[in-house]
Amino acid sequence: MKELTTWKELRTEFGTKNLIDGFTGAFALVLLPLLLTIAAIIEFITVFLYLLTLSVFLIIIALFVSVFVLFHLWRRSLMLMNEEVTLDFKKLFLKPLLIFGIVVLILGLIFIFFLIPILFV
Amino acid sequence: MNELLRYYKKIILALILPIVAFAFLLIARIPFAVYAPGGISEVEDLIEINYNEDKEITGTISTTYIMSIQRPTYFQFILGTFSPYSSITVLSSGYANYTNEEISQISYLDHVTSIDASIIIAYQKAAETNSNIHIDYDVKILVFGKAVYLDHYDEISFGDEFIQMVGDGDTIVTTIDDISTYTTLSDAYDFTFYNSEKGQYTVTLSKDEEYDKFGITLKTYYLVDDSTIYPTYTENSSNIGGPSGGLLQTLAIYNHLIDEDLTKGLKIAGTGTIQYDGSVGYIGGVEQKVITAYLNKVDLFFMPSLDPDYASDNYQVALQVCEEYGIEAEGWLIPVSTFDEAVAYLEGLDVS
Repeated sequence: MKELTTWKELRTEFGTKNLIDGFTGAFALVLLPLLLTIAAIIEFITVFLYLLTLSVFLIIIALFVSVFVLFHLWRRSLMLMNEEVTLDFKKLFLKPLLIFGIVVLILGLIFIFFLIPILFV
Repeated sequence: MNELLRYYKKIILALILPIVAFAFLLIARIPFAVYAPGGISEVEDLIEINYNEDKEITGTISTTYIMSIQRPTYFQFILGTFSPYSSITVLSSGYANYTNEEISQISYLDHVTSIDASIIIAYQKAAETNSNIHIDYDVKILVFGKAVYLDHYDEISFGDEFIQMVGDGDTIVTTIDDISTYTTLSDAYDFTFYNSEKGQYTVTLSKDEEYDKFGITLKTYYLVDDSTIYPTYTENSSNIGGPSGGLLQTLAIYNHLIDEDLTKGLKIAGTGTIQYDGSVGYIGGVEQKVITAYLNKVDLFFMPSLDPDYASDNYQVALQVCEEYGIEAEGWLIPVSTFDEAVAYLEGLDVS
């Protein structure tokens, strides 16, 4: 409930347009390196298939780091728009970051233990 | 967004060139082939025989696949040079004119026809002792290769069935051997095929002036007649291509059809194509397959051995690989030249 209030305050402080603009900028900066990293890991898998589990963990880490950087850049973007902002929204971003990390980890583990044995028939 | 771009302008400018260079390494392809260790795949997951369902099979029989990267990117090429188990060669001349998609189609054709060959050999062998088992097959001529100068290149697909051609003197030709006999008087002839949807089509193919050939490679295959086979089987889809799983597929199918359990609790793998007479054929990527089997801790590994005096004999090469990587080949690497030899080896194996 407290978080919802903070999100509302954030929207009041910056406006929906600026929030979306900040997120888009952060997303654009993160996307290209992320895609290149994932492409590189996939090509790594084709040569080092016997290190497949390690490679899946590398993808999980890459996704987690990318989302961390995404939220960091989003926050930076908002701070740059209004340097005198008093609202502490650093912690606000922590929860979605953790949720995303857990979801990615679960999906990765499902991939390792269930999908890999099915795919490599 | 603009604030962010302005704030990180220097970093972004500094990273543009490395990112473009890295993207180039990941995208641009070069005419080489990288072979890397792959994995093993249980035949039971690929082919389910609807028979002897209660039979307990204590071990496993698996085919071995490797990663065969035709036209790798620069990045894959660089990775290949760093991998202790990979080998890099110039792209085979046989594949040089094919796109990667076409190479996949050839590989798929090799794979599905090898399954039919395995079914036929295994069922025939099992039928020797079990009269309930029955198999019939059709002999078909399929398109296996296309040269760049082939007319109607895009209309003719790999795996299309050759029906007939109208040769000299309007002779109807239906066999591969007769094609050259009845195509001496003219440069162009009508060929009729079935495509994968069983649609019939006829194209006029002319001989290339330089090679004096039509530019099409046809090959005879034995394909299982699903309408009369007993017991029936289910073939699951697979991401693995090529014919080199033939021997192990045949062993696994045969093991399912008989009462005894040939696996004796062992993790069995191997490689080798299977011919219609039950003989085993050579395969490529011996080094990577031996390493794959070793990394997957298999108990036995079958390897084609047709001529001990031939320097490139698969078994001789595999022995060298074992020596190079410190793998104990004795009792682990098993040379075979026929399916019967492999069966006899497993029957005579004492695991107590």
